[in-house]
Amino acid sequence: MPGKGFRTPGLESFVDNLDEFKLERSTEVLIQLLARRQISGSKNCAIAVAGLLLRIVQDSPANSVQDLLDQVSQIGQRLIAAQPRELAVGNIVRRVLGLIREVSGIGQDDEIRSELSSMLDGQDGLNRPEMLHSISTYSPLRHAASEFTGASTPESPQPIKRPNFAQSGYSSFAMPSTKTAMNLFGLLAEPSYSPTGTPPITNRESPALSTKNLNIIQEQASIKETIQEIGDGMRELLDEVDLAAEQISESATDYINSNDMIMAQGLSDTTHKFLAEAARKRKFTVFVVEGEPNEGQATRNMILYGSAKSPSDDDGQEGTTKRLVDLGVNVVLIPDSAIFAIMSTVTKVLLAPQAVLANGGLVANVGTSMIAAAAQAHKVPVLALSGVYKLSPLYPLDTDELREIGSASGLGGSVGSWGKVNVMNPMWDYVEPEKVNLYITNLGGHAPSYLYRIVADHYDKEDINLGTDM
Amino acid sequence: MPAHSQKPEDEHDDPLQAVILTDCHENRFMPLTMQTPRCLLNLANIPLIDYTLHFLASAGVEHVYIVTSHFHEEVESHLETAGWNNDNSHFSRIECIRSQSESVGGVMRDLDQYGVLKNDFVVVYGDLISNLPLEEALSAHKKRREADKDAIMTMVLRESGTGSDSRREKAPVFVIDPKNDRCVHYEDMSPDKKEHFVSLDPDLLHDHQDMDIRADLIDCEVDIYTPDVLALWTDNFDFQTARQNFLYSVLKDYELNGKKIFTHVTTDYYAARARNLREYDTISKAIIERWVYPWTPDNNLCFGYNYQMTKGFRYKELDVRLARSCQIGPKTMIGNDTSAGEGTVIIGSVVGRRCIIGNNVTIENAYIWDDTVIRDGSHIKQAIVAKGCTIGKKCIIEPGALIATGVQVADNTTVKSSSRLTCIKRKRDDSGDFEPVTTDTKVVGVGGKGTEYSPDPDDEDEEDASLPHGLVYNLSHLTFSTESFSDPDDSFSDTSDIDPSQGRRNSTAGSIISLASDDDTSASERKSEIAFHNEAVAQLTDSLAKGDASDNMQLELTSLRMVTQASEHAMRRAIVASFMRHISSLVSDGTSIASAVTSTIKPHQALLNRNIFDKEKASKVDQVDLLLLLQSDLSKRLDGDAILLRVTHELVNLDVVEAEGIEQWWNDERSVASKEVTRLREKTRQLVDYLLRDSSEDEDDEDEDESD
Repeated sequence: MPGKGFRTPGLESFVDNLDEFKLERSTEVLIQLLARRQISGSKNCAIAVAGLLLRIVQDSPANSVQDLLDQVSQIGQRLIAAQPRELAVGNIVRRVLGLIREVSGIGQDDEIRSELSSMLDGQDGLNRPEMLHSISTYSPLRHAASEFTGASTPESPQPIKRPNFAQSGYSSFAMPSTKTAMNLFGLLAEPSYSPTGTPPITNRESPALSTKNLNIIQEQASIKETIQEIGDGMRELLDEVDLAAEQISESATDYINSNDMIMAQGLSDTTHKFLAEAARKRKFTVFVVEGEPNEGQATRNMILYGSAKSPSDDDGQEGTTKRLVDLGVNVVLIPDSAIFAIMSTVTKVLLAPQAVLANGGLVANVGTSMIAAAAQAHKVPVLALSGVYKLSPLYPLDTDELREIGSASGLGGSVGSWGKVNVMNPMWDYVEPEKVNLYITNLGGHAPSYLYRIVADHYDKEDINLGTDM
Repeated sequence: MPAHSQKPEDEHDDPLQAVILTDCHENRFMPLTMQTPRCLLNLANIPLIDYTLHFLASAGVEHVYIVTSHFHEEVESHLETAGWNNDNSHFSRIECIRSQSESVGGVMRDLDQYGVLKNDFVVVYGDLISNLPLEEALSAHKKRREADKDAIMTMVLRESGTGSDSRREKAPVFVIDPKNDRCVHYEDMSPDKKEHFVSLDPDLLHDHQDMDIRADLIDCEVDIYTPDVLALWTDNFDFQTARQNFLYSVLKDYELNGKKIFTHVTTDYYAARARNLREYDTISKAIIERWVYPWTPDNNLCFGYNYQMTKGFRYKELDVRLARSCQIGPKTMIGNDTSAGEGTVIIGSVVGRRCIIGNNVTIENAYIWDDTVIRDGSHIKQAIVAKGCTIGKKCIIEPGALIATGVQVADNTTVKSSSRLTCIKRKRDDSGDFEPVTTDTKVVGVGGKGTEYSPDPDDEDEEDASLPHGLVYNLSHLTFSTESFSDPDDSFSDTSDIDPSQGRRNSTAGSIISLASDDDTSASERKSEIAFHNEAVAQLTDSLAKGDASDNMQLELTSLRMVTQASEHAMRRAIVASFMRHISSLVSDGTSIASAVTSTIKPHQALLNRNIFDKEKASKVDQVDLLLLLQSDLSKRLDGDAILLRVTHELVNLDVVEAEGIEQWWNDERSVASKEVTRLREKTRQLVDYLLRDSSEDEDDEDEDESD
């Protein structure tokens, strides 16, 4: 008889089986889980993808970094194709690719680097990096092509020392509490130019390679070391994803004042933590917008039980987090239709994006656009809470394509209406950058217009068009 | 076929197992299912079974056993190409089991013998489309199971809510104790039944304080079984169907077996089975309209698809070539490599891959499968055009038409709404092979290929096939027998298109209706009679072929009869049908008629005798009935007249039928009801004359008065 109990596949079972299954099977399983939406939400997707890629890197039989890059980008493209609208998947893949390039030192674009170094030299704030001079022609759906081309890699990469971001004076990277661990580039800046980071097949002329006495054994060892480093970097990335919400909440008291009237779109994990942290020092009121039809139940449960799932009758387990009401917050649940009416009394709006785009726009649960518009009309500041892992290097050229159209039965269709009534249930909304005042990330607060810069810092230009038909 | 020789990495102690029944022992998709099993038919351009497999995969099933019968190889090769059984599949084991059984009961007994299902497992059909999460049902089942060993089964049901589709095939009535979700009674209530009632055991009222009597549940036959259920199937060898027989009887005999069956009712999510073309149509639309999310085309769950959705539920794959003036209406799906010419309009339709659609073609609410060519100016509405067909220029395909694989319709042809065109048919020998049909130019035009499909008269199972009309909403063209529809009201005629008994009745009106003497039998009783008939005939034919003893046959027949409460008439009909089938198969194998008849009837004299109850009476109703049945059955067979003579002779010789019986039959007006039957009995005239002379000496005529 079953002892372990039946478990529906999801993030939990995937992570548990990750070490057990063969790599190819894990990949296949993750693709299916993403496609079946059994892993959804940017955080879950990010954790799953990072977990898989970490395994790839660790198990990699690749005897060159280039092989590893190819492998990661190939699997990455399949993952992106499985759920092209979940931008976190692509973000993680791109960041891992960037990390591999970073550690191994291949694929660096001299143009950028020279520009960066010139900037560093002159400390000229107006001289901006031009990492995104080719704007991605983003179309998530175009990812769905079943054939994949390997990531394009430059023919002859020029080895130029990557500037050490940790020292470069970018305020956004220097989170006091977590030092360089915050940022993977900063973290990796130090070892990135060790002589061991030499891929055998690239004909780069680094001083290390040009010394002819490197033999094959050393090369193998160096790859091992490189992979070790990449693995470390990826674990940092996983930590970043995991801790983003907490790190964001650390700055809560900077943004929330006593007697604030805050409107929150749903109570996501991040929003909840943020408000809970603020509640320790401040007294304020939160109007929680229900977020029907897709998020309504989760929002209500979050308010009532402190967890998105209602404590099912069998385990009777209370949510691990404390409810906001218990923390002394005055919580008011309002239906989506009351947004505009309430907005006049609100002092701040908190959004919880699903993804943030390079132009400063965001994608969030449906209804967010309405809140943002109402806030704009009432001149209420809009804050968006988002981990950096949600920040995508893509530009929204077709905002329709960003939207996931969900289940028609989500709107409570009965059997009788199957096939008779047309029901549209878009799950997400796109909010233009003009409607957002401030992004609060784990790196601090940024204006929407500044996001391109963070994008440039976190993604390698090579990878931005990953998976698109370029 | 073990898919994986070694996979120690996946072996849990108790992997969740599932069984998919692919052959549903009915052929409502004929002639589309002639060469392809139903589970491999494309629905929204994806084979049906893929939906089922995804459903199971999403529920966390690890081992899947697919029960196949006729199309074993096809199913296996599909699993191969779709990547279900490679090393990276979601299922650590996926296995096809071939079963020759003709019923669900048989399959279950085979599975019990097979002995692989050691844990609780899920049973579904290969045409299930659902996004139901099974998690809750499974854990509830497990919990009950731990508390009570007799909780053997959980049925997952979907509440239909208000405004539900009244055109359901069956209205199953579940009586559920709301306190613990236990199902205490089940009855199949046909919508066409005149009296709507459920007969409850008074004890139930005593045992259960509350009972919900629910007819609003959609039963997609998603069940969670414990291995005990298989044992129960084996113990009750007469159970044929999962609901009507098994569920009904197990619940009824609770006192005896103590087994409890539970339900799990969900109010959300989509669940449906593509049981007939009508449902095929509804489900296709539901998928396109995203009721079955995330099972939507643009999620490309299956390998190798790349659909994208644009506004208005228009789905296209990457490589679709549309002319500039071509209009693609809402709710349309078009597969890869398909092209459509200038002025073509496609609305609410599904078009497969690699189709070529000419200029000024109109396709509305139709299903065009892969590799079909539609030439300029044709109109297709509410029809199914299967794989690899060619529709000529300026053809009109009327609503409801079915065009099976490979048919070619010549230019300027109109395909009538009731047509079912095919270009192959099953060979007369029982090899299961197919042969091309002779083209009927009246149907497909000069230069076309194909003919009207006619259900094989030998094969009772296929008579359900008259249902494909279900695709069409307007059913006015169907002529229903007035006997079964004495007072049709609106909802009633709505249901009619999918009721198997009516469908069947339609096609075999000659044989059943004309002989059914009891006008007051309600349609549903007839339905169960038909079910009984099909099962009994299958069983008997089997036994005859195997040469079982007469006693065993009688036993089986009786138990089957008990279950379905069939009449004596139905018993006799089943016997006649199976015996005659056996005889004609012997004859076609080269045995002489005389010896075929003797070898069949003589050993089973007792069986026949036991179903004749009027030996002592003056009016030989039963004997007349038997002979009439013989006559009508044989009228459809080759050399029927000769066989009739032999059989009659044999029956008289064995004293199964007395001379008086023969005489009453001969004088009965029903025996000359139609030209065919009259012609048939001509050869027997001699015998009758002889017998009459024989018996008239001591018998007074008492004929005529026994007819109704």
